[in-house]
Amino acid sequence: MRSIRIIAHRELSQYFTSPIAYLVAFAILMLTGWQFNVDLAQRAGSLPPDGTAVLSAFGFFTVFFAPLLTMRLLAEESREGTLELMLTMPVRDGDIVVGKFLGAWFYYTLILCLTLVYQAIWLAITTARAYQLRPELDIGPVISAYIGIWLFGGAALAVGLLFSAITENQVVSGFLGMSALFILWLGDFAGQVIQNRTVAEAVRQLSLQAHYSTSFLIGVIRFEDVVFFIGLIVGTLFITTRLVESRRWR
Amino acid sequence: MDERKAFGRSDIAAWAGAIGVLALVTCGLVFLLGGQVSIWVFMCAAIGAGGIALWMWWAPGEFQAWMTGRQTRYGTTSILISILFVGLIAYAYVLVDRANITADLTSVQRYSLAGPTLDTIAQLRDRGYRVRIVGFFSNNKLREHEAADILMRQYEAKGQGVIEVAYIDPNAQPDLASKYGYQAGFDGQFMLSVLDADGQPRQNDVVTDSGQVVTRYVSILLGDANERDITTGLKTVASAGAFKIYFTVGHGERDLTQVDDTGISRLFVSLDGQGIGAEPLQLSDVALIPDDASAVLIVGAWQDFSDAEVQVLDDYVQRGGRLGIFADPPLVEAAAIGDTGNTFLQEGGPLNGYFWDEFGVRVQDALVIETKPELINGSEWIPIINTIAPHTIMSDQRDQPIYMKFVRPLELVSQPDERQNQYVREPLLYTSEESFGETGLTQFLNSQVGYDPQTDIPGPLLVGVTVRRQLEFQQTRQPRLVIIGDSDFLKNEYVKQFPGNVFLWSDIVDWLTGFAQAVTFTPVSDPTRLALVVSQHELHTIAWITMVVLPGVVLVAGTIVWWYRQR
Repeated sequence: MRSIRIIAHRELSQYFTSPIAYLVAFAILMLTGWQFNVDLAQRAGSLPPDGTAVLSAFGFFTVFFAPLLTMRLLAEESREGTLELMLTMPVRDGDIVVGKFLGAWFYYTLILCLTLVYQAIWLAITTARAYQLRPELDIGPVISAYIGIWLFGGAALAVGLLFSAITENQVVSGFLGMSALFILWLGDFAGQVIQNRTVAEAVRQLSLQAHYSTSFLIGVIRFEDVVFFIGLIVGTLFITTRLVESRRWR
Repeated sequence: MDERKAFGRSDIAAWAGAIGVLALVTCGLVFLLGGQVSIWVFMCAAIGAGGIALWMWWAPGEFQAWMTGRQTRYGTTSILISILFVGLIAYAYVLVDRANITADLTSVQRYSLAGPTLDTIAQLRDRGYRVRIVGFFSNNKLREHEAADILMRQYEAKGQGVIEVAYIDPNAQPDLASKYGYQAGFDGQFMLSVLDADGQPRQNDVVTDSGQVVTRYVSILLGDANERDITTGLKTVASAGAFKIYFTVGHGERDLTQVDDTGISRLFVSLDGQGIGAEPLQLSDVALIPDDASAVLIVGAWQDFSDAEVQVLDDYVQRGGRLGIFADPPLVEAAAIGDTGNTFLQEGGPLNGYFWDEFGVRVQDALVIETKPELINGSEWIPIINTIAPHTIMSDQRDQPIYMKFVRPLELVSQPDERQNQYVREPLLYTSEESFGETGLTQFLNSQVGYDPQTDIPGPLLVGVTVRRQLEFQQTRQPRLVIIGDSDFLKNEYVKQFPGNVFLWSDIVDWLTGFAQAVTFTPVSDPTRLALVVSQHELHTIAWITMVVLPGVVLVAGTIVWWYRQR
């Protein structure tokens, strides 16, 4: 556990000592801020408040920026030859993978926390107002959506890390990660492409969006969706560990 | 030369092996996507097997070395362990999926079953019903299927055997879907069927528009997956037998079981489908109308009622009875087949007199003639019903045209006496201003039709009215009366063509019996549904904070870090 903590801390520190992480955070805040303001303007005077609208868009943005966070984690170490060095240290291969993943997930969590500003604004202009007949923000779906997007982000980072372990080239790693996550995102629409019902449902079951938008995002936490995301994280990290381990016998 | 030849052969063998593996993977994918062993699947399988066979034949040593090599052994072990691990996760997921553990965090428990729904399920169980809720979802509706399943699983779980939920792909199982009455546009909708002792949905014979008799499951269309509609359907089943309508017979009334165009069997089937009982009643044979009568309907009678029968009806009304009268004009239709005539509700007759004295409404011995240029089907006998007064009846369907032929006008008392004053008379249907009431019906038969200001009744004419006793005069149940100056509009011929006629019928039945009110489930109000109120100034301030200040702080922090590290 100690080695995992040390590696995670090292990775997190690297995010904050590099301007890239700040640029990613800046881009995310610009995109979600734009989405938030557009949604707010559309709802003014005509629709009830909905704190989950930003988080719906955040899920889509995650598909593209999660691989940006993970693409260098193992690919860079591999290209610079430091991964071999790490493998000679008294740490297990799994500790390296899990430590790097947790560092990225923690950074993702911090970015996610920045979006709480939008929820604070929602509360300020709805529930906290002194009007007698004021609209109230339904906080339950907001909580479930945050739990969902946090797990969603973890799964996306785990998939991104897997592709970082496959190649030494960061750009290729990022591109493959984005492609895989985008396909997993589009899996929600499998029924419109695949004729075979059983296969279409099976593909849809693998879709990240299917386990997020029809449950967490509407205020329902289904235990099977929690298991899906945790299972995807654990399963992907397990395969990533096997890939890292393969460097010993390839 | 020999070395170059050996190298080429080995190289080709290795490539053949790689292509073979790739072809086998493609074969599996094509099969999964297409769902059948197509020519492409067969070709890929043949190429795959051929490629690997070529590899084994031309370079057996390399193939053996690859199979027994270190990388292959470690790699295979690693792949098998990974597959096993992922399999365990998938198994855990399936187990949890079956357990159906959910938490509804919405403030009004929008995705949890409400108390009245649970009560309805308990009623179904107590009364020994088993129902099947069938959802129709094609491949294009997989997302909607997933969303609907959240609610439907709860019905199934709380039903504990009383409620089954099934899904049908209307494209893959068109015969089964049509047996439930599936039609185009029902994709994503649910239907409800009551199961018999064998666990099969109850069936009945239905006459299609083409006149063909087909056996179908008795189903109620529920609509989308929402608690209101689903529970309303369940309440409809749970209340089966609680509502009964008696149709008078013995006066030439329309036949409920007659399936041709002139019968009203479609309406009978719709009542049966809703669980409302329908039975004939010979008034002359009974001293009292049964207590279980939710309403008594007189549909298209030709002979007037006797004093004794009127007395039975009056007794029923005084006990809070509900009457529905659908009266055709005198003479016209009867004369057409050489009959002596239609004497039902004739002026001066016992029943018409009773309605006037008691309710302040009577049916006139006249026929509505339409003179508007835009005649329906070019017939002056088909009045244009262009005013549907504000009322619970037809409240949601005011734009639906109602088709009536040979219609009789009604008259309301202008200065009610003490007895008539106990009732509230609400006009329901009016004809156009250009219509008039022809009182010279004998002349009408001789094709001498024309408005006579001396004898005829000027339009617009009242052709439908509801009457109910005022609250301060009623004792237990409120007596109600509906009179419509036509019964033709209920005929199978018109009901299948004009939805407005069906809505008028079903709303009248609902208003008389209170059926819809009893079975409709109304969810609790949601305080989070009020529209957002925010000023322009606030919008600008929020935009400034979220689009400039917040990203700006992050950007400045990044710049400082970059500048610091550069130093």
